[in-house]
Amino acid sequence: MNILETKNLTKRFGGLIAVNKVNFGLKKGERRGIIGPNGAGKTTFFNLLSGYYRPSEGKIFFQGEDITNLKPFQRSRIGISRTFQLTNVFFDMTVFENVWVGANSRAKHPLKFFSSAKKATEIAEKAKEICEMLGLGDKLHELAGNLSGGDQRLLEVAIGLSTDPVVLLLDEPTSGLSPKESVDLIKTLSALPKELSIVLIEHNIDAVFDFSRTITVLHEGSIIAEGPPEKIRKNKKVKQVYLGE
Amino acid sequence: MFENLLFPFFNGLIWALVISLVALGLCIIFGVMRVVNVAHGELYATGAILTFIFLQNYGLNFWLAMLAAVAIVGIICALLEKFIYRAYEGKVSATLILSIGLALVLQQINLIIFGGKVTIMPAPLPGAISLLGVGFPAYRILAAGISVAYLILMWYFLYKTSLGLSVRATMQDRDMAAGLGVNVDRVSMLTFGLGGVLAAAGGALAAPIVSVHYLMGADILTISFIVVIVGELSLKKAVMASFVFAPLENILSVFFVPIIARVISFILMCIIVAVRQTGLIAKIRRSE
Amino acid sequence: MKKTTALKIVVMVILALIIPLFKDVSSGLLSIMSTVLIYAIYGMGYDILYGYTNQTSYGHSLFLGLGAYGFLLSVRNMNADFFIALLIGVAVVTVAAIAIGLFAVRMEESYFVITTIILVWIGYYLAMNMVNITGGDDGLSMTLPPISLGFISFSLYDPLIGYYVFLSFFAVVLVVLERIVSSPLGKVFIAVRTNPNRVEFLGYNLFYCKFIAFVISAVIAGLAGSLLAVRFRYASATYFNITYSALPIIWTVLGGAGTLWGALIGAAIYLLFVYFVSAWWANYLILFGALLITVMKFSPKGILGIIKKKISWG
Repeated sequence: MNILETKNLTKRFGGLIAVNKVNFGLKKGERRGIIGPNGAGKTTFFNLLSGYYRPSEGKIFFQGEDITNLKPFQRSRIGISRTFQLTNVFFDMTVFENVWVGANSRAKHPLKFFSSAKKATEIAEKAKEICEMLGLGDKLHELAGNLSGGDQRLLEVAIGLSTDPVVLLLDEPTSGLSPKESVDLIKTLSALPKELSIVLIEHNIDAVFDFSRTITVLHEGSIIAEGPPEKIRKNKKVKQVYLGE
Repeated sequence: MFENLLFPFFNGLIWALVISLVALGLCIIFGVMRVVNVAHGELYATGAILTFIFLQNYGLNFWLAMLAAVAIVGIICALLEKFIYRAYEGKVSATLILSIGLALVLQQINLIIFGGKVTIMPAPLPGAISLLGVGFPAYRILAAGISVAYLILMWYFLYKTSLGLSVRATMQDRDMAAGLGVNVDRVSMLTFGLGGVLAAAGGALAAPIVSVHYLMGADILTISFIVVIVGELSLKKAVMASFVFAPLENILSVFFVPIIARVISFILMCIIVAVRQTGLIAKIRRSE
Repeated sequence: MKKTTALKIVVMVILALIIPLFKDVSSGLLSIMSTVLIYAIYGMGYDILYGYTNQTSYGHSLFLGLGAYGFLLSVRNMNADFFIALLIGVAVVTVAAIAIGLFAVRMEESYFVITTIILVWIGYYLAMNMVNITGGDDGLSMTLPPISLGFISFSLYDPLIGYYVFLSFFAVVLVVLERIVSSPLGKVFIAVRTNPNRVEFLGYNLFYCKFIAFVISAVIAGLAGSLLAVRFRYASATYFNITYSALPIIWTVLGGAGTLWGALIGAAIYLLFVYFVSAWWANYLILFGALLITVMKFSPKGILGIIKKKISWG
């Protein structure tokens, strides 16, 4: 059974069809890459999966259940987490606090007000761990707004992981990273628990081909190819779409 | 009974026209700059007060006084946009606070230059005209005509000129308009100036009808907001909503104390909004 | 942050021990400080809404007025004792806040602002008109009930006792709000203020978080209203006027939003200024209006923001 599935998922903006009858299926523990030229609908697809957009048509299923009508916060609660192409961190808060917010949402009483936030040691430990895993361990108390662009991208990923997700949707995590940083990030992502299903949107072809078991190619809102990286590399339609632009 | 209701109804129409002007100004400011301009009532009052002062102290005739007042307010607003509001466009809480500051400053300036008195401005056109057996003050008919003229001018500007098109495009989608080459900063400056002009014009026209008082802007502010919301941010619908609200309030005033008539009108308008709320939320979502 | 805690303690000591020493020198100072403390409560409540979750209500005087009348009318019509009247005042405000919050907080920012404006004007018009109940513009007065704690009874007519009562409420509200702000809820509030969209994607019900902040701030405004009624033994429809909605905004922006203490600073500056200046310059509000604009443009974090910058620059 697919852990995440869409049936005929469509999103129209007025006359423009951004996502067109997409049937997508993700298995548990899968490492999937999504590529496609600009405007292919990749981020829109993530927006649909995370609940930011309501689909014009079609349905989304998570672990077999229809989640099409769930709001973003409900989708996060069931285990779908996403990061953003344009860095969308909490700029006025420290690195630690950024990750803490996400981790705290999984606490038994995330909105409790009768005890100090500092005393929530479990959450704090988890947040620290995630920061360290992404190489931000020495910058815990820096303001997110003061980080370098590359570190902010890492923080994006850290926040994505902070909610203990079942499915992680990463939107161009390596954009803005140096080649070495990209390689390191992909290594870190590959080392994540096997039960975590990850979908990666990327323009960095090497990174995404390295990471993914299967690649999905989107073009003008539709899936034009899907398969292992070597097959996609040789796919004529894909080459045409990328080179013929 | 009919005659008793005719006069309030007629007054309601005049009032509706004044509200339309003011609400239109509020609407374009909100639409283009996303600014909740709580100083709008003060701009209205300043229009009335400056007109009165030019009339009284400088001996200008009413029309010149109104022109001068409206022009001054418009220019001040345009300058305010450029030097104060521009840095905060789109940030609702910041621009609200700026507007509150502006409202306080304007209100006190009005108090300083006009005093706390309540004065009736002499009608520039005295006398009455008889219609359907009821006498209507000639000035009010003229004021109605001028308001209509203003509205037509606005309509022409917004729908028949390219600058007006830029304004409407920016109201629809600011980023898209900027991407299409519209100078949104200049549009904002023009819009704030124009909004001020409309508010001041409303105040100047209303001055001989209602009494001039430094706090006269208070009532029209809330009415304008309600009208803009009921009009769902659409300019045409805001004008239509004014024509629902004003006669409604005036007719209710026959049966209730004016304040209660106003409250009931507010509540009825809010109910209209609530009933159409789903449509409104979808429109807000789409415009974000 | 030991420096700031020390500073806070110093301020509290001044408030608790030094100010009352002046009670005979001029009952003026004690009197002003009593009002400052009540206004500070109002302002701190507003800070939770604006400073911590970035919701700018321009109609909070609705809750101020409801709190004032809730207390006053309970004393006048039911001969309620101090605590019962307070409870009723706060209860009325809580109900109103929940009812209003349920639909208003859901709205997009600017519609939220406009809604609060419309609601407070409706409240003002009704209060002005229902003269039999509210006394309209002139208002109603009451005889102050004593505060009875077991066998001891305090008369609120004694300005010193009144001052300590208001100080106690101020201290309690301050401690509670500081607690909330440093708790997980408080951190979530700050996250909501910083990036409300992201918070949703992390599993928080954004509406619910903002709603909690709204109700808390409204209830505190109501408490301040009740205390205001006690302070002046009187309430009038003027409390519902929009100027009273502008005041907490002035105090928090001036003092520093999102700090709680900024409200105290802002309220103190405002009241001291009004006390010393309003006698010979009636248009002092023009200064505060100009200050709002100036502070927003040049030092949006207010006075405390300037002080913090000075401290971190050494």
